[in-house]
Amino acid sequence: MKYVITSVAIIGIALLILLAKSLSNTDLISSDTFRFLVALSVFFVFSLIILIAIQVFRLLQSVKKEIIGSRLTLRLVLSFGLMVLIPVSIVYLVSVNFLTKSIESWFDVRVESALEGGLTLGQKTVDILVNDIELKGKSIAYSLSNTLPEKRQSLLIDMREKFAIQDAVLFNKNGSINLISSSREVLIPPLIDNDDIKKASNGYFIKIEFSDNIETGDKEIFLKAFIPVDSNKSQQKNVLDVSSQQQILMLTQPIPRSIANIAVSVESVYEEYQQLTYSRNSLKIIYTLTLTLVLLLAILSSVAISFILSRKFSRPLAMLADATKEIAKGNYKKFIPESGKDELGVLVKSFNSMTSQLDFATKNAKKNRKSLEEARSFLEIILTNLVTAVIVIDNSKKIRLYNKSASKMLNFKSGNAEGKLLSNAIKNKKLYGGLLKFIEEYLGNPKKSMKQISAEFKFEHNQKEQIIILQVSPLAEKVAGSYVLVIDDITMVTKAQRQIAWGEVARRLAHEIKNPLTPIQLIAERIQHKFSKKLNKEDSGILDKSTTTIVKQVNALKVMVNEFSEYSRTPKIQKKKLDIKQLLEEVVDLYTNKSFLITLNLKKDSIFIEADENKLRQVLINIFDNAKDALRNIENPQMMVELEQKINKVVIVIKDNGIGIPKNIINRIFEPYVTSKDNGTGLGLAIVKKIIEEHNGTIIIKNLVKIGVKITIILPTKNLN
Amino acid sequence: MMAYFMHYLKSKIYIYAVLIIFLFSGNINGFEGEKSIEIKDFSFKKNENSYSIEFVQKIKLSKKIKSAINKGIPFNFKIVCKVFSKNNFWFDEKIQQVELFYRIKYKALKKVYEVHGVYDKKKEFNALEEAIKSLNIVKDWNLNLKNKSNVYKYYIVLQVKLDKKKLPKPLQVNFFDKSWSIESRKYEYLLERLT
Repeated sequence: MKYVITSVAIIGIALLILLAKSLSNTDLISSDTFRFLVALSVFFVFSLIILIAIQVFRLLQSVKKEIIGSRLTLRLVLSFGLMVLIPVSIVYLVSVNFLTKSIESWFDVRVESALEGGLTLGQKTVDILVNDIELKGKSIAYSLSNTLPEKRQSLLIDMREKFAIQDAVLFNKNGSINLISSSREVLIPPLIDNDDIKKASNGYFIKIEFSDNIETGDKEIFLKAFIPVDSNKSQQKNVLDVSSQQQILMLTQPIPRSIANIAVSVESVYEEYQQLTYSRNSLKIIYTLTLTLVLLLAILSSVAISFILSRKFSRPLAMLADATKEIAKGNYKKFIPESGKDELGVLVKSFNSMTSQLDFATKNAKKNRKSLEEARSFLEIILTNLVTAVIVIDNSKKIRLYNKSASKMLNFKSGNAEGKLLSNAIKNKKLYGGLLKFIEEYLGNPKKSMKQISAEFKFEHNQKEQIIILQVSPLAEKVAGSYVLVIDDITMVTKAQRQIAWGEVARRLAHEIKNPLTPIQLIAERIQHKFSKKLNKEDSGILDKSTTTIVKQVNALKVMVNEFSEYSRTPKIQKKKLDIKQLLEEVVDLYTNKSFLITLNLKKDSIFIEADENKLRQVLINIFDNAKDALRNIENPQMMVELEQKINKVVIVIKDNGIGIPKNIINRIFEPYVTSKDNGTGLGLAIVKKIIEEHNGTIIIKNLVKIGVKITIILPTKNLN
Repeated sequence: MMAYFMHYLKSKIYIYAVLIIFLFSGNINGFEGEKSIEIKDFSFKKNENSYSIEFVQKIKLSKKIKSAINKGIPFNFKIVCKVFSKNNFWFDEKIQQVELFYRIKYKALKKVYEVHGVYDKKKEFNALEEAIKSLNIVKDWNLNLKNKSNVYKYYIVLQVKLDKKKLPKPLQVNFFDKSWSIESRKYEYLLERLT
């Protein structure tokens, strides 16, 4: 559109120049061309009006749609339009007024009167001269007609000289010269038209002829008088005389040059003045029309150009506004093309620089935020997966942060505990009363709360023992008033330590006790063998009884030492593919027909695991032995064995309806030397647990609700099946 | 059929031409002058080596024009004679165009009306009516027509008009003032094959 507007504006201006030229240059541009130019100008005016109307319509539509920059463009267009309209209109009005007045000033009644007077004066002068030559001609003609032909020449000369006539020629009726007299030295024989002869035959007449002096270039006016000359008297004397026919006297008299020049000038000026007079209205109309077209084209072209300029000016601002919106939305990639070195260019450049800086800063911030989030996420993952419970509390004992282990370890109430008081977050306040009291005391003591302290707590709940270590530390200055509680559940560690200690004890016992047992037994047997026959019956009886007791006790000690030895041995299991179902069936077979009923709940298919067959057999035998002991003196004694395969593991469940395990030892039942049996070493289940753990499995032992025990063994299968 | 179509097309072209002219010149052409010159008694003669035409033109001048003549403004007239050969299947071909100029001017000093042009030499008249009357009959206007063997119908378009190019410039370009547009309508005279 801007090319169209520019083209139309340029063509319009070119037209105006041509139009202005056409008024002054007659040869260059004809009236038809002028008319065509006017028509073309009108066409362009209308074209511009249509174009501007379209532009205005579009602009208003843009304003209505609230397109960025449209209001500014409208404002600029109005400003430019007014800037042009006001001065151009003033110039136009002044010009039209001035022009009209100027044209009117050319015409003045006095000037016209003076010109008319001059012309009349010229006419009167010519009339006087015409009358003068007429009288002179008549006089000469009369004299000639009354003079004899032979005397006419001298008469003609005399009278011409007397009347100061330039040329006097007497023509015959056929146009031939009869007599001639001239004041000029060189005379070109004059000619007479037949029309003049005919006309003169009917009576005299005067002709006024205009000519240009070739030498001086001045206008010359000649008066020519044609007068018929009668030959009445001469005819009377000689009728045969040629000259007796009617002749024509032609007198030629120039009007004095000064008068002629003035008269011709006055006539010429008068004619030009009259032409101007008639052209007056036309001039006014044409000039007004031209000026109007100039005004319209100038204004319309300016308005049209103002659209282009306004758009050019407002475009960077609109782009800036648009880009600002984009930036507000968070798009820092918006780049405005730089143009020009003016303030707008500088603004655009600065904006682009600012945008790129913002982009860079945002990217950095995003990167930092991402790193922070990653770090936080990392920390969260660590905290979540940390076995150690971590709780951050403030001065008022409100939880600011805690991890999953904390919730699990201290048995938090369901829901988010953040913001709650620690004591309110814990379900069993009574159980953890000591812990809460310790924390309260720590926070209540300013000196104490500046340091890091730790304490161990032991809880028992639902047949389970829990040992924890609490470590309380104040946080750094930036988060002053906050404390971090790090709680470690050391129940298992304690148990393991206990196990290790027992292992060591067992190993030492086995080593220290086992060695002297065999010689003791052998010596006891030898004493019995050697001295029983030498002693009397009574003494022999005492000896036998004593040595038998020694041997028995030594055997018992051997059993105990073996068990200790077994418990303390270094793990040396030899895993191989084992059908656990088959093993279970074999062990169960050993105990069939005993004093209790065994219910075997196995699936048909074999289940294979990687395990040491002998060790697992020992585990099962230990458990079955314990069950057998527990079922003694029980009515309707029963055992139930189940084998179930789950994903990557097998679960063996052994239940009995025996006497169960006393509550006071159930938590430590897997510890060595913990037993409910009178003659038990307390190492059976400890060995069982050790073997199971060596197979990366777990064993859980629980008293059933009413009666009996349930032992669950879980062993990994490693996808063997 | 073709002739009818061409006739239709020509008539349409005329309409289009008028429309285009109107579009480009607005209503400027609406200011054409009234037809103040009438042509009649047209005759076409074949001379020995040429063709000549003869007609009578009746010029009626308004008071304004007469007054302008009396004020010394020269009036130049132009007689335009165009000869066309008729073509039923295409646009008519202009064979020839001849123009004849004459001029009436009042000489204030001499108090006579000079008539130039139509006649061999200048003629002077004491009264304007006489001068105009002297222009009425145009005769023996020779046209050097070229014959065309394949053309059978000719027509002459004759128009007399004031030669506005000779008027003072402001009067030439003032198309709003129709009083300065003196012209006859275009007279068409159909001729048979030129022999």
